[in-house]
Amino acid sequence: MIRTAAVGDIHMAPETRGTLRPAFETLPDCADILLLAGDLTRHGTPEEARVVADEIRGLAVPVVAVLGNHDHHDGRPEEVTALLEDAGAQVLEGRGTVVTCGGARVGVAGTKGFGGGFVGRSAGEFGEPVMKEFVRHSRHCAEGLRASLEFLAGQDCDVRIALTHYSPVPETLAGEPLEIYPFLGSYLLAEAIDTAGADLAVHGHAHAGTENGMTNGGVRVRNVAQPVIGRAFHVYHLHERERVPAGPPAPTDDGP
Amino acid sequence: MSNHGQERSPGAPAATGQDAGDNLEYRVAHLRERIAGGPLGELGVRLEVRGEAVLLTGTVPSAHCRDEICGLVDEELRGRRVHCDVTVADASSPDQAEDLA
Repeated sequence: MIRTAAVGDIHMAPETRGTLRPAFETLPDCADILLLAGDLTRHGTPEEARVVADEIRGLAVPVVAVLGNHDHHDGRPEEVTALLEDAGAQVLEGRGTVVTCGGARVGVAGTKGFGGGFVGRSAGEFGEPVMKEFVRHSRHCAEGLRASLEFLAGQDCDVRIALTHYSPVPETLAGEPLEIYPFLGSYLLAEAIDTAGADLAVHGHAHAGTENGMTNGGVRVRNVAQPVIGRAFHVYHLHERERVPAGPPAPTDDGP
Repeated sequence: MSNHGQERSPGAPAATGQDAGDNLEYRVAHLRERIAGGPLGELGVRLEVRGEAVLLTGTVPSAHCRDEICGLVDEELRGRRVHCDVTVADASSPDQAEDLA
């Protein structure tokens, strides 16, 4: 069993320094890995990123993160990434990593992701350049996620996790106004997850959303935005032998 | 001209090009944009017009952040009733895990 702790949208700034550290120090008792689902800072400044870095520095469990839209606001995502990596986190964007937890190999594929909306209610790559750019960015993130999960499929992982900031499914947005769903996620992320396969998808971004959801392909989705989970993190127990494959359910054991 | 359900103070004139700046719905919409895009950078707070009052809901990372936002809204909408139901995120450890068997 792999104990996966996750939280997003912690929105740290100098005035919140140290608030999560006491809870994070309990991680070795209940989790093997900590996933951070973006929006780790309020404005994406190096000063705020240093607060996050100090919060996770030296933790006894590996930390894997993606950035969120807030972490891009100041236009310095590379600096935010460097500061978090200096504190020991792996910050993913369009790539995967394998973390060894005990004897298990945990593959994490990460991207910030982007908006665009969900099946039948999504934006298209058409019209004004800024609209095309919007949709292209979402597609680019989703393609990076798919490629990362496919890479991990060849890395003998016991479990594979898709880590994003934006949501892959509308289900975990329940509670948010319907009108803003296209700014909260994209079905392209879910399509990437279902195409490449994963055991769990974790995202943040939707503060008024709902924790539990599932992709059309049967991959469980958890919205771990801190306002949603109401804690410093939530823990999910994943079992190595009960992965949910991509696509339709497997036939019974006497099938082909 | 429809006011789209907008409630106005008793005796307030109908919305026209001259007084659109006093339209509470637009003021609240612009205030929400300021809270999201300005120095506060807070997208997680919802502002809603409820009759003559304005209701703020959401969860923010600190009491400092909550006080900044509620203070700004109070100041900008001086004379209006503002209900600040913004809560601060809980930073405690969970007491249970979810088994995804």
